Amino acid sequence: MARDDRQHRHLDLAERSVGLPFTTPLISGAKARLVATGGVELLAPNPSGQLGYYVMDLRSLRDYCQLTVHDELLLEKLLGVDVVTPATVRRAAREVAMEGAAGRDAAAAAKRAAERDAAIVNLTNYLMLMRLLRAVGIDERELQRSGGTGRAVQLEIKRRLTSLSPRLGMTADEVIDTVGDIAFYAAAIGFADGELETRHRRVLERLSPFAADMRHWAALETGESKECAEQIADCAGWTSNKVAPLIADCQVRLEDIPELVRAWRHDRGALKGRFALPDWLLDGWPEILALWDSASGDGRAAQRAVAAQIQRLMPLAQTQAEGRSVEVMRVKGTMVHSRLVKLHEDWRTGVVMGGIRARTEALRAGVA
Amino acid sequence: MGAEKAFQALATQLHGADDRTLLKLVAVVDQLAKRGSLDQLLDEHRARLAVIRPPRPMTLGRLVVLPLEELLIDGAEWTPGMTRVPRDRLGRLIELVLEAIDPDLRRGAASQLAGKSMHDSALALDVGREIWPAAGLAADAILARGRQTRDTELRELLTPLRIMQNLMPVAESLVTTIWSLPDRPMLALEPAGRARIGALLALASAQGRDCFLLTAELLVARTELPLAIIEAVLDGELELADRERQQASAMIAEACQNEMVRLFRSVSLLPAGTGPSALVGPLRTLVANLESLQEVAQKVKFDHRELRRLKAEVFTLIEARLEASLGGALLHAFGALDDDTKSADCRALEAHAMAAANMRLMAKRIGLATKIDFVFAKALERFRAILEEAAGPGAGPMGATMDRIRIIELLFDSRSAMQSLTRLRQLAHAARAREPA
Repeated sequence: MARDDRQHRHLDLAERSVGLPFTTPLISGAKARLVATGGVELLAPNPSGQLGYYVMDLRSLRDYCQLTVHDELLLEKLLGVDVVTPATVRRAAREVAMEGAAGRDAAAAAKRAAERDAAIVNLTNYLMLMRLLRAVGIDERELQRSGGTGRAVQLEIKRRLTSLSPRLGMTADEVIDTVGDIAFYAAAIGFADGELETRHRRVLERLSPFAADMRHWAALETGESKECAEQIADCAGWTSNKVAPLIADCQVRLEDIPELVRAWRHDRGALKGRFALPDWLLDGWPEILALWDSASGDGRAAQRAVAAQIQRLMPLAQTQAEGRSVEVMRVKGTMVHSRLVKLHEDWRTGVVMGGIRARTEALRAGVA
Repeated sequence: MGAEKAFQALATQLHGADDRTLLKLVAVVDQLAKRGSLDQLLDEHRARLAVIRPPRPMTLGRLVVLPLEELLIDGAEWTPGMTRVPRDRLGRLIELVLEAIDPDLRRGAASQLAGKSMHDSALALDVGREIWPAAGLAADAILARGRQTRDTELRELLTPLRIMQNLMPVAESLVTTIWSLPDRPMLALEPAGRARIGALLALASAQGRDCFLLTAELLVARTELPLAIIEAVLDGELELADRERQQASAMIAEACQNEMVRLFRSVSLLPAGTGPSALVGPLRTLVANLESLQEVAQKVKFDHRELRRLKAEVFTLIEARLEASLGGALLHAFGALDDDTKSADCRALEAHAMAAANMRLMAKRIGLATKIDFVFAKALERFRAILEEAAGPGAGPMGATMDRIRIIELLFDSRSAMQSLTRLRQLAHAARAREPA
């Protein structure tokens, strides 16, 4: 097996984990993954800073360490979601941020991001319906010329879709619901010829330059730090190479909306998985890119620390493939980490309570 | 506009400037051949500049003093004889040294640096290898004639020149070692860092006693960890006999202690209303050094009674400042928070709260933990009372409440903040239950 394949062999969604944007320094970089029994496991980076993760039930998190208020509220939300996916985690994190638990800047950024995403989903939904009408021979410009209100246009679309029902094998309402469902996933992907700056496109465009930058930076490093930077660059390059064709494939499907609607209706699970896969593969990268940006003006020592922090944020599959262990730790209610207490009480760095947390919150504001 | 007015206008502009504007203004100042009092203006913003790190153009002068950077201090703090280099005399020092360097070497080096920034570390080392030894020899030559001079300006530069004369022979090793160290504040030094410091001290000791002592002093200033330096002096492979090692360690400890006494006095003189954010930096240095000195107290002979006295005084100072802040400015700002509070003010309050929490931890390291915990326990009651009153029936939206919860979290801990939030939820629930259906 080639090195590249060996390093990145886990692609199955069930095996993938989702990054959780906790602000408590001890669990910064933690991930969640589904388990066969239906529960959610938390994978927390080894608190000693050494390699490996500790695995525990998400509900045991409060016994593991003292959480920040932000993380308490996020945990409450996460325990209430049906399925843990990048999208559900993102929504929960935004809701918590909007309450102000990560500060005013993060609250404002989360609100803007939620509004922007909702607008893009709506726009994608509309554009898909227009393409659908065009594909079946209806000139969508007539709708635009009618100059009616949004509601009037919707009714007109529905009226015209009714005439298509026999051809599509579903009612107009079903078509509209299905398009709406697809639009939720397609909004982050965008159309091949679209000029919208979608979420995935924004991240994807930066991955290759980031990988090149990391390699360039690694050239002047030695030992563990060099290895760490090269792993990050490899992982970024691999992710870019994998995600680009996946997005292209989804965009090809978006070219033929009637066929996509029919197929989605027939096998929603498989197609939804295909459209959601880029979101899983790109999970965590906006934070990584923002983190590296934030260190751009720093000295090498600070950049080394940031590179180590990025390594903790890298996809778990990558970490496992690097031969690092995932240890199962039984968390007991009475458990107290002496190291945690020391770190928590460290006044000289002020980093645990202040710096790392403030940086995480600032990043949250940047990548909301 | 007169020069005075222009200076005032620039000062005002710098004070209100955001990071981007500050960087632009610094870039303009950097372009000027004669900076004079503009350097004083920048002095006030050095702490901020250290964080935002503007790309400074690489000049020959800047490169010459690069190895001495850790010994630079504000002109107002400097007194003749002090083994530090005052910033306000740097211009003259550089001028003197560059004049005494071979013009061809000077021109060649300057042309290599043209258009480059100080971020280009490889170039700095390349050109530095040529220019630093020459600067050392130049300082040597100026010192030879300076000792007989009556020129007061030159006489005041004798100590900085002596520092330059002694440190330039080890400049390259000094610069690379400093670069390799973690950023401040340092908790501890890893074995690799200690090894690098040991190697540098060994190199300096081979150059002579003065070079060795100045290198040690510079390293203490950079690391703020006298322990790490003294350990390297006591146990490292140096060209020094045991007795000399003891003497050198005692000198470092004594110098460090004197520096702490001086710092303590300057912190004590700060006005009563000085916020925790302004106090936390110097206090951190004080407490870190006191702890570090305490750790070497068994191995090195110096005034231990003075150390104990200083510790007690620092604790009392922290306790008094915290009490004043928790019952005064911080509490008042906490009470005044509302939805109209500007984000910048909110961030400033958070920074104060974080600094006060940090001071609490410092105090616990050098004094009675129960005493300082009591101060915070009393304060928590007052902060909670304001929180509940402000979030009560008829209060505004949740925004300011969450800001207050965050302040409680930063100041006390997240457990106290969550308890406060839970209590607010219970009160809200009870109020809803009382409302008529």
